[in-house]
Amino acid sequence: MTIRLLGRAVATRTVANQSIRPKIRHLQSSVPDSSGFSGRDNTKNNTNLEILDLALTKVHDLGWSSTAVSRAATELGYSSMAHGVAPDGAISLISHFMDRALDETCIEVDDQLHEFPDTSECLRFICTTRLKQTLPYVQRWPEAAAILAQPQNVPLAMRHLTNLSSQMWYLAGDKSTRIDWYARRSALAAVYLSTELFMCEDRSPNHQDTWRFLKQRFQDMDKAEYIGSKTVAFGEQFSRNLYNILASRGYVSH
Amino acid sequence: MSLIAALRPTTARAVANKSISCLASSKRLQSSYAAHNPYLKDFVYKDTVRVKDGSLTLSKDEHSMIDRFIRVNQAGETAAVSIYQGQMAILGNKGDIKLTELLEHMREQEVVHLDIMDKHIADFRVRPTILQPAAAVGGYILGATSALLGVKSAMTCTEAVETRIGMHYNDQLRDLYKLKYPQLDELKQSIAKCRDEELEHLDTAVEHGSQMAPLYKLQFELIKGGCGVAIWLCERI
Repeated sequence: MTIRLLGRAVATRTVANQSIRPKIRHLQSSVPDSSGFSGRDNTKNNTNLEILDLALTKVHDLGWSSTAVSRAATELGYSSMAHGVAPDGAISLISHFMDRALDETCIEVDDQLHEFPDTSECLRFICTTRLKQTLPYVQRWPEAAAILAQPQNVPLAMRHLTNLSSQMWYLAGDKSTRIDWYARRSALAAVYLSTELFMCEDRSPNHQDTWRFLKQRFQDMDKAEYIGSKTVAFGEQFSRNLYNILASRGYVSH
Repeated sequence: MSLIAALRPTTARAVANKSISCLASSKRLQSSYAAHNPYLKDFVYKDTVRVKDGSLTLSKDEHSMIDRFIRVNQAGETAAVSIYQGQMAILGNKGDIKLTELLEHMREQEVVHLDIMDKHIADFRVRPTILQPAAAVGGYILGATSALLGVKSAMTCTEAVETRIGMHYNDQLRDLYKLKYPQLDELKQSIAKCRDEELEHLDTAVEHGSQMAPLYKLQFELIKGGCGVAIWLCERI
């Protein structure tokens, strides 16, 4: 129905202004980034970002779909076929949103990181900031989560989640170099994902239940890390003692 | 990039505005430039990676190359430490003090290399390989097995590993020297230092009779090939 209305609008316009050609803006060609490597994705395309950003403001009414992108393109003066800037429709828009949200989180958090002496507190603040980026879309987010859960979109969703998790830990000052790099990131990803889903259903004033949920999850994460390190230390001590006992009995050479 | 950094507002923090557009709540649009300046619509952090505490910004491709290099280097040094540990566990009880001291000295040098690589992992935001514990265990098994075959075979194992690692570090340096950032000088120098010491170990192993080991050619090629496979895996996983 929307497309038919659009078509009628275009028809009346061309009939009324036959002498004036309708002004169609053209998409700019992509400008290659100047860096040492000619990478595949090193292109800055302001026009595409303009369309997609405006499409994000339409998500509340039109949902995560290529309709929103088409509407945004038309409003900016481009042809409505320019929804090709989001070739997969909904998933491109959601992907753009997640990139935008992470970018905004980094900008927002940049000058406040040194205020937190504790890594866990810092991480919770960064997580909160990122969740607040999703807040304006919280009514439509379950839709996006469902689209992200589709099998063809799962690799992209996983990539975004791991990138987000890694970026948040990095901003909080993580310097791990061994297998705990993976443990920390997967724990944070689980915390973030569960809190985001909780936030979709949360109706409390000022989302205070969400923030309390997040705080609880962070406490759980800290407790799990503490228990894990204690277990490893216990295991080390146990095996060391066992080796010493066997050595003193002569069963192993010392 | 510097234009964006200069225009980014540094004053008050944004109020979390629950309006439809998330952009309205960001610091970016508080500036009056934002409405008219198309450049501000670019991503600030998306296509680049800030490393070395923000002092260097790399593109995605450059960072992925450095990421791969440092990841495999850390795994390699872990394996090297445990190879010498395995060899010491078997050969340390033979009563040959000089051999034990030699192995201990080489192991300590590898530990220093490992610390260097750990520091680089923290500096350059590198993802360590998930096979790092496996590299430690595999190295110990390799060292112990080669030592069980005799002192000369242990030296052959060392020679093969160090040859492959020397080639590998040279390839890395060749690729790193294509990047001209001054912040990478420390990385290049440390890799060069590691390579020099590995080649020293190679010479030491040859001096101690590695080429006199039984079935020398077979052992050498097998271990060198195994190292190649391990390097390929650790670069990707």
